[in-house]
Amino acid sequence: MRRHRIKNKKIIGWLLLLPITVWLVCFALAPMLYGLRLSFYNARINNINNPDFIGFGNYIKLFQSADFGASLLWSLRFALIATSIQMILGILIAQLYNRSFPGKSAAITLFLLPMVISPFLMGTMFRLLFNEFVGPIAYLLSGITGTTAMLGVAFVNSTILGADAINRTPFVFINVYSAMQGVSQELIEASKVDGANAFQRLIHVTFPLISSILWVTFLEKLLASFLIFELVFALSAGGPGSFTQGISIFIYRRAFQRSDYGMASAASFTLAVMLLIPSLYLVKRMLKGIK
Amino acid sequence: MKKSVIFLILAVLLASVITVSAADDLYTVRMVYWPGPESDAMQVLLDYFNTNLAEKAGFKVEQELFGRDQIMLKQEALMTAGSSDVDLFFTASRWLGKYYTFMEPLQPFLDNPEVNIWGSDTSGRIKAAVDGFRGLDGTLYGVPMDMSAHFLYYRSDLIDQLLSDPAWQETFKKISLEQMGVEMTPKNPDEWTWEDYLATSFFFTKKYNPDSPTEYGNFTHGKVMGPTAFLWTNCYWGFGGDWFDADGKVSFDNEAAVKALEIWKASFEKGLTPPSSVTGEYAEDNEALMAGQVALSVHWNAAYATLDAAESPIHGKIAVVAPPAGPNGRFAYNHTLGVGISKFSNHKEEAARWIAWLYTEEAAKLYGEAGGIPPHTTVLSAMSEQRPDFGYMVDIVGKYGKNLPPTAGIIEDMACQDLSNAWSGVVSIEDALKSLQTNCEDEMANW
Repeated sequence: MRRHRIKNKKIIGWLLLLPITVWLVCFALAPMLYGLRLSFYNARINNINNPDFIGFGNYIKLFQSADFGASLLWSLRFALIATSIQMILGILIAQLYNRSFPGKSAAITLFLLPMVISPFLMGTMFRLLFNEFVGPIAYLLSGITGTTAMLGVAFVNSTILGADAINRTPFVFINVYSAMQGVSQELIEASKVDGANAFQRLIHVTFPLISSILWVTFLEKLLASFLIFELVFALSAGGPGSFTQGISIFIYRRAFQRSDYGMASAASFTLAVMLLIPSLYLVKRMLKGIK
Repeated sequence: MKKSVIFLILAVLLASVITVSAADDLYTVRMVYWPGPESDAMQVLLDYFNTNLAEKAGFKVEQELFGRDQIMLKQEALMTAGSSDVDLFFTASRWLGKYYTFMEPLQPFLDNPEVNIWGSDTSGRIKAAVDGFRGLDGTLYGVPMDMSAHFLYYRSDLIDQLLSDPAWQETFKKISLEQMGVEMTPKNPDEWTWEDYLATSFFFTKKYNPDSPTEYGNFTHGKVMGPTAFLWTNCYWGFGGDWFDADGKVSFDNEAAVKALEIWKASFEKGLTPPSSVTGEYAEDNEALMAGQVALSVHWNAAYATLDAAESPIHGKIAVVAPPAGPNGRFAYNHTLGVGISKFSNHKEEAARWIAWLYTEEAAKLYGEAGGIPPHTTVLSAMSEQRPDFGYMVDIVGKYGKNLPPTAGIIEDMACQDLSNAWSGVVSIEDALKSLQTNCEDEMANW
């Protein structure tokens, strides 16, 4: 009887998993495998129903392409700089908020607002705000930068970094702030008694206790910044020229503006392999956190 | 009593079902179209057709709007899936080379009086526009519905003063000698070469002429997108170049491209155009002109209605001519949007009959009155009083109009990327052209 009940429980468990499994197979695994297959073909809009098998041809061309190398480098540089800026800002702001003050809830809500705005919308708004003739931010910044051309070659990278920081720092903040809320006040008080100043308390007490969350946030942010698309697309479309073309825009342009599906798939899979190690590590850390 | 009420209700229900069924008897032809002012104009045509001509034609028509930015992306999904969900695909003259294999040749339908019950032909439309819907072998694939072209916009009040004020003319000569190494005299914009365009841009740039009423001489579109490359193409044609040579081979790594890029780059490098224009396009150009910050712009015809609108700060102060000339002549790029019959449609004859009606003057007139820009000479000319830009379109495209070949759409993205790299100074002109030539040759080898 008991064995029968356990068996039933197992069946129910599998049945509950079934919908999401079917969904993942149909809408994630199958397209992914189709994409993998396509990466070995010369597949364009004119021959998509009968593409030519070229083996590793797309991959070889990809690694010979200066455009791909430059895009990869831009993404890497952007990811490292953007993540560093946002981690530092997020931690500092979380530390600032990690105390009682009047209007704290309203202040947190306001600070989180940019996070709920779609990056594409954010990019479009910033494009207007940075407009040379009608953009108030461009006008205000011109006192420091000496130009209103915030989307020109000289400042476009800084503009994207700034816009991304406004959009995504709240994500870092909310993660770190939540973790800080879980740090025992007794430990903080004890370190105060031992003579630790605010900086020492942050480094030697708070950080070790929230390191798991910091790592997960850092990695998630690093991956998201590496793959940034919407914000850059709306702000600069990867330009001037290919000056701000990251890896996602490279793939988008290959697939949807040049209809070179084979090459775009090869680039996507190369990227997937490159991101596999940090992603697996991220999942491992997250699972460890859950346990 | 109760039975009578039930009977009455049933009778009413039956009558409604019969009426609805009768109305739905007609097949509905489904056409993909470009959302925006073009689809607003097209809706007027659809309403007229469905109300007045559907019975005679034997079908109704509706448009499917896939979104302005990604319309071809979504349409490509239908094409590659071989879907018969739509009967007509949206296309543009420059994209035809990429998509014609998914479309049905049109001429046999137009020549068949059982299909073309309207007796229409292509003769009323501007020839360049119709030719834009032909494949490389001359096969016609669709109807050109909405035309776009490039004009040279200039501030007529400022140019009038330049042409009449001796002090301004002296300054003009001095600046042109200093900046271009040649003493030039101001000319009427209709006689300009690209050197005149540059000289005038220098004159109207505060950096070179502190008394200039505008901050910058011109607005040059620099954003990485196909249409930006088309604006540059007017200059490239003027210096004798073309995207493809007579044998259909890609042709960018040449002296004409260097000259045209030098002109374009000068605007960015010398600060003749607002610095942000390097990532700017249509909307930013309008803003710059309306803010009174620039004096000239090679820009899209559609902007005229905005720039010269009654509420525009430069209303009555803006004029247009064809883009300037190069040593090899003067050219005004134009392209046309339109529709063609899907190869996968199960109702090709109905779709063809609809296209045949779109070719009529009646359809072109309705489309123009509803805000579209039909490439129909008679209609554009007749409406030139209420829409001056229509008149300019006929004159400019009639005299100087030139299309890119239907295969241009295949390489427009890579063309713009490399050209933009050159004029924004990311790489040298020579390197950009070499890269462009190689990339485009590689790509065209697949088609």
